[in-house]
Amino acid sequence: MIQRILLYILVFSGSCMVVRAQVKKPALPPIDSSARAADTSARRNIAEKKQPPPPLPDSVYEVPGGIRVGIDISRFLLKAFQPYRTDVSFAADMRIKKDLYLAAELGWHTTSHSDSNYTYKGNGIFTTVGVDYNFLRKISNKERYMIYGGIRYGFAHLNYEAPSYTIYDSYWGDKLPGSFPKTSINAHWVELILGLKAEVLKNFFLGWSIREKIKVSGPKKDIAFPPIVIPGFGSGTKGSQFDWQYTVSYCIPLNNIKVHVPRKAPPKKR
Amino acid sequence: MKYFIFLLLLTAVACDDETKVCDQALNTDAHMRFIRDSAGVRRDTTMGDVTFFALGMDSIYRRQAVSDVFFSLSPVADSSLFYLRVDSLSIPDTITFRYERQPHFISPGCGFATFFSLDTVIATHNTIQSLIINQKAITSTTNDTAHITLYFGI
Repeated sequence: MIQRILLYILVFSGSCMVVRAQVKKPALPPIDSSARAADTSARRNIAEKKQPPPPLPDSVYEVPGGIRVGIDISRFLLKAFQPYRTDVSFAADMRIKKDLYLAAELGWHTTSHSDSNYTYKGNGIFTTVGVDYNFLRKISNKERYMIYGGIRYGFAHLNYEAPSYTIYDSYWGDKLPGSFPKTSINAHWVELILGLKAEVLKNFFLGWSIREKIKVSGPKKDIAFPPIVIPGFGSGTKGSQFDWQYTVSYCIPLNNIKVHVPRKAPPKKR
Repeated sequence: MKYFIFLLLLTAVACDDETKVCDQALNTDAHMRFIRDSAGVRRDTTMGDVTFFALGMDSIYRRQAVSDVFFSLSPVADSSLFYLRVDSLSIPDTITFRYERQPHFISPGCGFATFFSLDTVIATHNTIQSLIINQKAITSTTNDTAHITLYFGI
């Protein structure tokens, strides 16, 4: 009897130990080396999240560059309206940044006028230097259309004279003849420009611009004999001058301009 | 079409021929005003019988009632001599104007005119009591201010 009681106690306690063990400890997965490696990387990711991400390298792409040279054909049309003027003007620009162009113009001019009151002769050269900024947002990097604003500094040197003139006086009955000797002067001005250029054929451009020219220094209106025309500027008796230009130009593709676009880190996910 | 009209407008604004139109006065007349000085009281006066001309030339005013006269100085000499009688009963005076001349380009459409700068004005004092030069520059842009004022005691 005592042996049977001891056997029951032993079996009961043994079964209790088994049940207790199954409740307290869930079944562990099989331990292997790959599971241990996964746990290690998870710990490393947590550590990395605490540090700022390293900067990403900039994106670099190229846009077509080169020197664009052209002629202003509006000056030939101008002669139809102002026959006393002969102007030849060349324009050039060069891309120095994605939307920024270094621009210059060079030209010369002659004036020849004769009527019953006076004869006039003048000639000179001019140049302008400045920059253009392209406002147009392009679809492709290879596009070279432009809608631009620009600013120029202009300089002209000219010689002019009135070989003969006649002043009429009805009372004294005099035709007073005279002449003004050759005069040499310089003029400086600033131009503000709005315009556009379109690539109608490969490397071949048409463009027009309107410009307001403001004289900074040069012949004053109240001097005895101001020039009729200041080369590159326009009227010699005005302080400011509105003008326009129509250019036909060809771009010599010499180089490409590298454009760096800084990359931004992607926004953090919540 | 709009583009073409826009270009035409630009052309019209920027390409006007300045040699075609003369829109400024070419006259550079001197302006002389008459003032009567009566016992220290000076007032503008209209002279009833004014005859005025340059010696050797036609009359500019012949027996007219005027309060001031406009006349041109000789553009070929540096002085001009004028005859003035303001009343049929008064003794005539002569007035000598000495000046500098300068041709001036008025505009591409007008050509040249002569601008004068008065130096001295000398008058006999038969009827003229005194005179003053108000403005030396005689140009086409001169306003209505008289260049010379003549004072009379009659």
